[in-house]
Amino acid sequence: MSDPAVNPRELNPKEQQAVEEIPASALLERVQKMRAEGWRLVHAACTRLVADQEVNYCFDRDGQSLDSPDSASLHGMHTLRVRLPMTDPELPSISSFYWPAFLYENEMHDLFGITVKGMALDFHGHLYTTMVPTPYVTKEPDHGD
Amino acid sequence: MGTRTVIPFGPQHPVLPEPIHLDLVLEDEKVVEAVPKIGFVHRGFEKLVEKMDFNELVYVADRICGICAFIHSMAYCQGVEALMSVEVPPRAVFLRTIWSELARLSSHLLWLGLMADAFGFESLFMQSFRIREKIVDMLEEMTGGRIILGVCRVGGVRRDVPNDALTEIVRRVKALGAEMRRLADVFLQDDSVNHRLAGVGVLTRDQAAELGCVGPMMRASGISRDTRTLGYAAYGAVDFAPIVETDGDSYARCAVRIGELFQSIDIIAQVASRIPGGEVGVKVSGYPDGEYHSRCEQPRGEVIHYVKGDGTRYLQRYRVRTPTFANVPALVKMLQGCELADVPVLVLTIDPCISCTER
Repeated sequence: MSDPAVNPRELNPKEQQAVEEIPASALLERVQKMRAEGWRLVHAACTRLVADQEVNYCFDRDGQSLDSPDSASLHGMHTLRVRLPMTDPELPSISSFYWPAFLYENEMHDLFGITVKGMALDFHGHLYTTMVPTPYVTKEPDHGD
Repeated sequence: MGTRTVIPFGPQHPVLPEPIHLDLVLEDEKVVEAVPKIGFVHRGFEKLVEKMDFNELVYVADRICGICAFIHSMAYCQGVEALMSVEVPPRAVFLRTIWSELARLSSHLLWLGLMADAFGFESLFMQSFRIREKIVDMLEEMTGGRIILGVCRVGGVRRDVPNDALTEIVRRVKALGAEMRRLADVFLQDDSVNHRLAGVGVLTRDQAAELGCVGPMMRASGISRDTRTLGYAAYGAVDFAPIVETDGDSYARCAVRIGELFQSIDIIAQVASRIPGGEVGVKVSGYPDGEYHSRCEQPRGEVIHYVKGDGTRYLQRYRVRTPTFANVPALVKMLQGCELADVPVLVLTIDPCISCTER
């Protein structure tokens, strides 16, 4: 039942993943360019750090390599990262370029308290029903130990 | 323009096992707009990174959803293993692949049953669940769990399965394939089923791409994208191609899922025939540092587990983007212009998994 030809190094390959940090003011222009280049919005998420917070927009191009668009074997994901202050964080919506982004953006608003301007569909804080408003907005994580 | 009426659909509805709400704006019997609302059962799993260390979090990942449980825990473990440069033993990687495909069989059969129930074909619902039960029995024999398997861990898997037991599993899955074929014939050839599915909820290839669809939703519209082709786990050692249909309607989505039943059986047979011997886990030391997007193909499509560590035993961020979350925008667009009577079928054709989406 076993096949000695299996090369362990060929299993579970690690993806190429690049991060490009940009200012919030350059977000729309950069996202527009990603769309023109044929990138797919994979997901967007916010991370609360100690002094500030970051929003990641992740893209891929149908499993193509970050280096060579012709290579199907080396795939990768490209992340645009925007850093935001803890107080009154604000972002422009990218839903004019990637319509489905409205869901991610409403989530950022409801859970992290980020104001996203110009969303294609704005739930005005009613996408998620939580007991505590913006539950991910905490000064420091409570590890309980 | 006729008089507009707003009809609330859900969060409690006979076709919805889980709560999602849609405000359907109607003109006569035609839907002109649909506004979704989720968040009724948001559990804040991702925030548990503050309370549970990266090893304990595997149990949380396993419990995100009761249908794609194993693949969630596998995607999470893959992410942490990538951060910590852990080389998982090949046998564990192959076992993960087998359990992933059994989970896909279980999920697709569940969907077929729920779909049959939605259009009132009770005997088809029962046949789907009867076959699914045998798959769940196999999972229980191998892992001890029927739904929440609890066998994945960072660095490998918790249980080994003897090779002769795997041979027996392959034999039984192949035998079930014949029963699935009879089931598939009804879904794909019965007039009453076709009447409810063919030409309903058409999504063109361009629309599917524009709306960010994933999984069978996307492949039914002619886009040949399947995360398994990226070669995670042992998929790089398996010969298969994505199942693709081009009509983009509810029938095509059903056909893709049925095609994937037989594909999963084939993948299980291939993996079991090539599984190497050896350990099924390695000891992991240290703490995760850095960030990684781990992705897998769940029965509903691509799932993303984003893990970010800062060198402590607690992750800084854990974020799960589920396939249903990615397919909700397509559902909103698909409902525009459909008949009110088709709404339950259309909602089901995205195979919504709300507990995944709510996390």
